[in-house]
Amino acid sequence: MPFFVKGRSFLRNFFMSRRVEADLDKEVHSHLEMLAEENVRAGMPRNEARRVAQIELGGVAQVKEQVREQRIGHWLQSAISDCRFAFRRLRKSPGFTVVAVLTMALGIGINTAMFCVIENIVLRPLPYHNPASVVMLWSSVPKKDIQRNWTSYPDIQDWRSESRAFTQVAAVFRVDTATIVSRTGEVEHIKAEHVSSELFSILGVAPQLGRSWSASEEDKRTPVAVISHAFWQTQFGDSPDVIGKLIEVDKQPVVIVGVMPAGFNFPAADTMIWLPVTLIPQWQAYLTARQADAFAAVAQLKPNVTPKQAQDEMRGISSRLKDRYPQFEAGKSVNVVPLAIEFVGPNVRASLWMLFASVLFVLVIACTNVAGLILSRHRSHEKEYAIRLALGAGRARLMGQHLVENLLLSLFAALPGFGLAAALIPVVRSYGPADIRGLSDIRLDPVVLLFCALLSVFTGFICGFIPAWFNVRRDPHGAMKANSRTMAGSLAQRRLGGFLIVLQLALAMVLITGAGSMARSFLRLHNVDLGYQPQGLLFLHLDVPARRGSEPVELYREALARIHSLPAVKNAGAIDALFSGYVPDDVVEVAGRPHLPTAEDSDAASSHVASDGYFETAGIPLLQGRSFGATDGPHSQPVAIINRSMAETFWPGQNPVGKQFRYGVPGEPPSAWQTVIGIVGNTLPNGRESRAFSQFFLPQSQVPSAASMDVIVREERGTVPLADSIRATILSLDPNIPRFNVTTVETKLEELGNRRALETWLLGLFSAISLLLAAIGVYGLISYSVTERTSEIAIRMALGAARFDILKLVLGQVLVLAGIGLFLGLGGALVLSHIASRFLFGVASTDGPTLALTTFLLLAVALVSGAIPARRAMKVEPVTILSSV
Amino acid sequence: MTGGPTTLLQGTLDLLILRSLLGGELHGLGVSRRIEQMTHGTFFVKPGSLFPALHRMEQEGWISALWGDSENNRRAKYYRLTKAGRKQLTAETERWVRISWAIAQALETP
Repeated sequence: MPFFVKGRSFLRNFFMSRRVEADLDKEVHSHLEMLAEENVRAGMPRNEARRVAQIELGGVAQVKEQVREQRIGHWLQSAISDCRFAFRRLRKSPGFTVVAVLTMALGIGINTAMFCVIENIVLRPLPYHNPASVVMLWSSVPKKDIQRNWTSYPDIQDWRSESRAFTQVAAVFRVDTATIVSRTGEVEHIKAEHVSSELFSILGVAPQLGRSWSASEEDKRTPVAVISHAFWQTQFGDSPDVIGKLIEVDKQPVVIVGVMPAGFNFPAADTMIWLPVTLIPQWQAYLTARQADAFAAVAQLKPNVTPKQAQDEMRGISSRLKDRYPQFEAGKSVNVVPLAIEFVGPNVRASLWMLFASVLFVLVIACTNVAGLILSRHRSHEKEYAIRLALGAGRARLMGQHLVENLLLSLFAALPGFGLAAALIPVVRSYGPADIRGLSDIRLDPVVLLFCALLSVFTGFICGFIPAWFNVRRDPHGAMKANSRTMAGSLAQRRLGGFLIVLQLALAMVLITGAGSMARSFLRLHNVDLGYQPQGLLFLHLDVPARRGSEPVELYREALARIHSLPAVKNAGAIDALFSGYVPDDVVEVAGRPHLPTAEDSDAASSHVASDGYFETAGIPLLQGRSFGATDGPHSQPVAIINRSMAETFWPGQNPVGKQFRYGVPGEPPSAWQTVIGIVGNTLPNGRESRAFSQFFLPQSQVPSAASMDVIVREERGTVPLADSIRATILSLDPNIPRFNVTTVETKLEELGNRRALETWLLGLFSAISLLLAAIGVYGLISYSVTERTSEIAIRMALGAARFDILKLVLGQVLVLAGIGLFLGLGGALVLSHIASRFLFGVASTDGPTLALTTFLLLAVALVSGAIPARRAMKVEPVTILSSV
Repeated sequence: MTGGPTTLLQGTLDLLILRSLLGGELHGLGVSRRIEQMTHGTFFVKPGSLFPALHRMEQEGWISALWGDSENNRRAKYYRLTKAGRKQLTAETERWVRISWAIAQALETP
């Protein structure tokens, strides 16, 4: 029973190690005695007999060690004793331990946090049945570079019937909100998705309660709805008899037939209700009109069909549709987007990977620092190692001990590192940009924990391996004979120190250059002229439900007048969409020119409804003509104000004021003729990175149906907060207005450019950390080198070198290393510049001033860090040093 | 084999130790001397190889150890073949005979 015997030996070796050791000791000694007796019997004197016996035995300790190595479970015991030994050594130098652990913890912590973001947002599959097979189908206009456009319901029916790549195709409607009357009787806006029945089976998620509706049900005329888990909880208190209840959605009763499970998040986590688009009466007209572009589609690929193949097929279908309906389909194509890419686009992915790469840089710099620390620490233990090597310790075993020590360090670092990550995650959750889907739900999970553990082990290994390797390769004779006079450090060790400095500075250079270009492009972006003055402009989005007897326009006029009369308010105005988010989709026909252009033409414009005071409040200059006035009433001549871009596009070289145009969507009767009364400056409607396009503005008094408006209020400089009085003013007019927030236009703009801001701040933060680490690293390694060379310096001084020469010696070394490092870093930055350029706005990725500034900064940091040890070197007293040996 | 003691071939040490214990229990030095005697001084086992081998074989269960008194009334650890050890000896012997025969054949090939 060999297994049983071995098991018993293992247990015996492990738990009765003292007895086993004593036994071995006795055995070897008795052997030695017997050898000596043999020699005595052979006629040797007693002492000589013992000596010869010792020689034959070859050393009691060595024999015992060789026996130990044969023991079962030896590796475990030596690992445990290595751990104990390492622990004792670390405890003996708390300064080193604390600095090394904190440095590693910093690197591990931010890497774990960043990985957590990547894992949650990019790597984790979507929570649907077969997410890889789900794609989004958008209409596109390749000529105008429009990738995601809405299309008509008849188009989607054609896609469905003519394609072979998909098992199912579901339509989703452009309108993604609805007003409901809540349990407390309040009117609330909620996220609502109007879809067709296939959606739930495409995503492969069934309601946890009740059912979804079926295609056959869509013919009946009873509106049904499926609600989200969160909505069920807040509105119905988890009650299971919610099924069959009626709820008022957009002023009409809808029967609840199902509740989705928690975590179902199509298209967003805050979508509260799913409604069959075919059953909502006010949108019936959309279902048959080929000109009504208000839908997109979600489709499930058949097995073994790639998105690429589906894309090819859809292109063909699209061109057939073009032949059939040239007036609606001209210029259009279809864009097939995998759902994962639809939710987290290539730009967000690139941005996250870029940030992940930069935290890896920080980690490498942190590792380099710790490696430097370990290097100088080993230097002071040199003799100890040499003695142990000479006494027969195996090189592998010594190396193993170094590694154990470093692994122990990194495991100590893993804990605060993970803590740091856990502390960073809530910060990311609440301050992260809103346009990254799922960022507000990220959490630490076992995968992240595993990553943290592996990263720690890897970090410990890298930090320890290089110095350990350098140390055990040293020749024990040299170290034993050496004293402080001759110990000038091996060439290899000095090279390693230099290499670490070069590496640190090069990495820091790349990182800081990136952050610098980013910051410059951020600043440049911030200075972009929006065409209006966002400073001091309050913003609120109002939605006035239509009610018999009172038009929203009356309520808006009254509200704006009352807000205007509030103290500290300079001006107030309203527009239907301050940040339109749209592309121009109204085709314009200029009076006297017969042609009504199609969607393919670039001379479409975007229509807006504005109040009298809008332009003045926003600070948009009136370039020509007049603004809206009291004379522009519902019964007077229809008028319009156009922006400069529209004037230049439609009336090039002419004065448009007094000219007429009409507008509409293709296939529908056009509007009445509008007379241009004024021209205003261009604005950037979608934030600082957007482009201006043709816009025209109609007076609110002549478009009374506009119920939903963005109200802007210009406050006097440095006054009391206005938000509450504005809110009270509006609610005093109509307490039934759905909830709204008063924020500022600048906040809204920040949300639009939030990801860029985050990228800039994070890169800046990482650069600051890397700069700090590099400074500490250079300081540590140069101090180490000065200590190494103390006797050399003393000899140089004794031979007549001036103190200034010593300063030159040390700083010269720093300069050379920094020069190499910065040169390599510059190269790295240039190599990476084509990657960096996609994140920049208006700044070249090889931005000259940034490169120059970074070089100067790092050189200065390196010199200052090197100057402290250099000063110490200057103060070396040759007599003291040379006589102390 | 002329000249001094030869270093042991890989794998032969176990066989020699097992064989040396066939005649009865021996202590470490006894095993060493018995091997010298059996091989007419060709093989000399150093304590640095002997003890690790003895301990390894004890863990394998081929030999068992017991403290006893030596011929000079000294406490010494004695090793004895176990049943498993005898089996092992037979197997090793067969193996060795086969190998040595094969090597001999190889060397006689013209």
